[in-house]
Amino acid sequence: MTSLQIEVKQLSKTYEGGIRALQPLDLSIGDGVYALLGPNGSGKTTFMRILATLLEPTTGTAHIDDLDIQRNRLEVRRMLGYLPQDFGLYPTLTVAEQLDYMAVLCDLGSVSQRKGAVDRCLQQVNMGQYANRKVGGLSGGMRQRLGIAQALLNQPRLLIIDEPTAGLDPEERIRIRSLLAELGGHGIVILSTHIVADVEATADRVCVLRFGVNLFTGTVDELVSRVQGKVWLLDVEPAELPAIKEQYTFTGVYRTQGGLQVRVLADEVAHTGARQVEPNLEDGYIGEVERARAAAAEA
Amino acid sequence: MLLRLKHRILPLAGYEMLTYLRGGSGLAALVLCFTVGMVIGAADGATASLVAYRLGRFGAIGLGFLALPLLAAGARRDYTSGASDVIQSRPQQAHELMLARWLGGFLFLLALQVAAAVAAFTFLLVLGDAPADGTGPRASLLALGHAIVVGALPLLFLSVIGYCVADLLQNVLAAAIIALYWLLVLLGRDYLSRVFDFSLTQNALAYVLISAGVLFAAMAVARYRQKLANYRRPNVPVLAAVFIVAGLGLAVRFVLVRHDPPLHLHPVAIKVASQTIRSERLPGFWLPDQFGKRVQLADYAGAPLVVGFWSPAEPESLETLRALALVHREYADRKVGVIGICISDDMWVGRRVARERGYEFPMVTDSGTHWAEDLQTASPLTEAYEVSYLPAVFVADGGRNLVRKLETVPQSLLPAIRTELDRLLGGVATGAQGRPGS
Repeated sequence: MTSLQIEVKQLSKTYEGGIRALQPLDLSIGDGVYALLGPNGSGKTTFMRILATLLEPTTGTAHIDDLDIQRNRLEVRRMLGYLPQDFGLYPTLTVAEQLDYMAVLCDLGSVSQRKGAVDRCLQQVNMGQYANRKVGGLSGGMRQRLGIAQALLNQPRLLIIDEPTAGLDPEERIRIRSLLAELGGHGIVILSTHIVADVEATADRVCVLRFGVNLFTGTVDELVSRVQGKVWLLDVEPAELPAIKEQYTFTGVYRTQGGLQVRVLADEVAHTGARQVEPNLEDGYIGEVERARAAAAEA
Repeated sequence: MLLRLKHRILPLAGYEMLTYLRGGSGLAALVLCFTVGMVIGAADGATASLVAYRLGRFGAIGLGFLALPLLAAGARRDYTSGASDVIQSRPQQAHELMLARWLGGFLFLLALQVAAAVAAFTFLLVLGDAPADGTGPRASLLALGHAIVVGALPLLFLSVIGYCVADLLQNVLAAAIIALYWLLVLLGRDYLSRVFDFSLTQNALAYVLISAGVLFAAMAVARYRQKLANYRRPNVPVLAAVFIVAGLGLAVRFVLVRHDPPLHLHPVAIKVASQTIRSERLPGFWLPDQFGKRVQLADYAGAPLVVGFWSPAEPESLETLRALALVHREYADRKVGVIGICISDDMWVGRRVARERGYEFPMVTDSGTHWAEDLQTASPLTEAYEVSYLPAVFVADGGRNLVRKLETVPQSLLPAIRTELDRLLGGVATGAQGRPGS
């Protein structure tokens, strides 16, 4: 299978009422897992819905290989698998029936061809034993897995998944992360999340968005390296916490025996017992968001 | 096209139907329809024609009003369930999906109508008497098919309009407009109400064409909204325009050419209605009976006369027919005239019932019957005879002078007629020997 390339140029979206969900955005996305990281309201879902041909951009273009996504919606949808953050399905159908319904919509052909696709997807998300269970009776995790299964029916070369692990228990989260990492080897997977651990576990490249503005685009290592030498671990008393909070940007607080351990971002730290540590993705992400916040405050 | 039908439209329609059937309200509707069918089929005195008539009305009115909210909710299901984005991101054609979903909903409504019809005719075959005209179960099967088709016509129109309007206006309340229209048609008494009545088989072709036109128009809009590359292809909008123009053209032709003026507004009907029973003489009429012979009161000059009103829409009034049949048999040698008057806007049901039951006394249908708020204004003869509820029987002497108007409970009808006739015939205590209905 040839590799896929998405080119996004000056793509923006302003909703009715003047709400600017996405500022002009330029991105280049190749094969692998591409994570969109950002707080709620940062424009991740808007961007994904535009790529999924469900929303028209206000300005700009997006091409998948040579296909303009606005002019070639049908062709784009043929190569697309999409799972929105909040999705509903038909509760009275069984899991297998629901997937077959979606397979019909994907134009997968005869009953036997559709059945083959349904069985394959059920295996992929490890739901074979729930094929005859009603969709309305599924747990949150199983619903999410069913959502991913329906996105995989047409063996998409472009998979867009919005917050796939939100609300899942740790075991389910790990299962879905490993599935996404596996899928990244067969095309483009665009993953939106505000759970940094998901990105750490699966993504090849990251885009950090805030208020519709692209703050960073690059690999996970590049994002982490931007806060290299700026991450500190401090042992503090609980009473000290408010003062330290005023002074530094927190990236984590952990309870230890007899006190607290605080992870902060700073060029220098004037605190006894402070030690520099290796940064992780969460530090890098918060560093970018804080930098943007400071710049906005200055402006 | 056939492949698309086989691989896309029919499977989706099947799932749509399944979605309705498995929902709590769908299952409840199915059980309700089956029960209604049982009640219709097991009713005392039911015949195949009567069952078909009542099922047709049930389909047009009962299921018709159910069809609107059901299909309108179906049209908005993706939005209410949150499945919209998942569905829309698929490479399906919106107009095909729309067609499939409407078809699934319509098939579900048809299943309800079939459930009621099968229940009614099963009970009729098991519990009912064999038809006297020797047609046997064949008559029931023909009537079963007739009942399903007659019920399906308004369902077709209402389901298309309910589904498409809700989809186009993106609001389930849009179906309320159609419900209002249907209500006005049902309550309307004027000329146009018959043209606007999509449950009448005489209007079937026009409304089938209009339904197809509306469906294709909605499909064209759905395809335009989807903005796929091929939405400019004109086949669907052209089909919509052709169907709508043909349907509306046919409807206009009905209005201008084919439709008879409403019979209750015909000068003869007005004259009939203007007669009054207060003059103590029975109002006259001249109507064909089940044998095709014109019947008038003058045919019974010099003989006592029993005139009974009944309606297929009024189950209790069937007792009138039983009483008339017995009186006709008991007093045959005394030359007592018996006439049954059917109050129905269906000109054939009275004749069919008379043949199925083997009635030898003439059965006429008041051709001026129409929808009305009360029985007395529903037909020229109920107006002239001042019949305000059924059963109603009139006993007159040989000079057409009213002896007694009997508006009593069904069980007392036969003894009351006998008493009046015996008194009229000279105080003879009995009519015929061995009264079976006593």
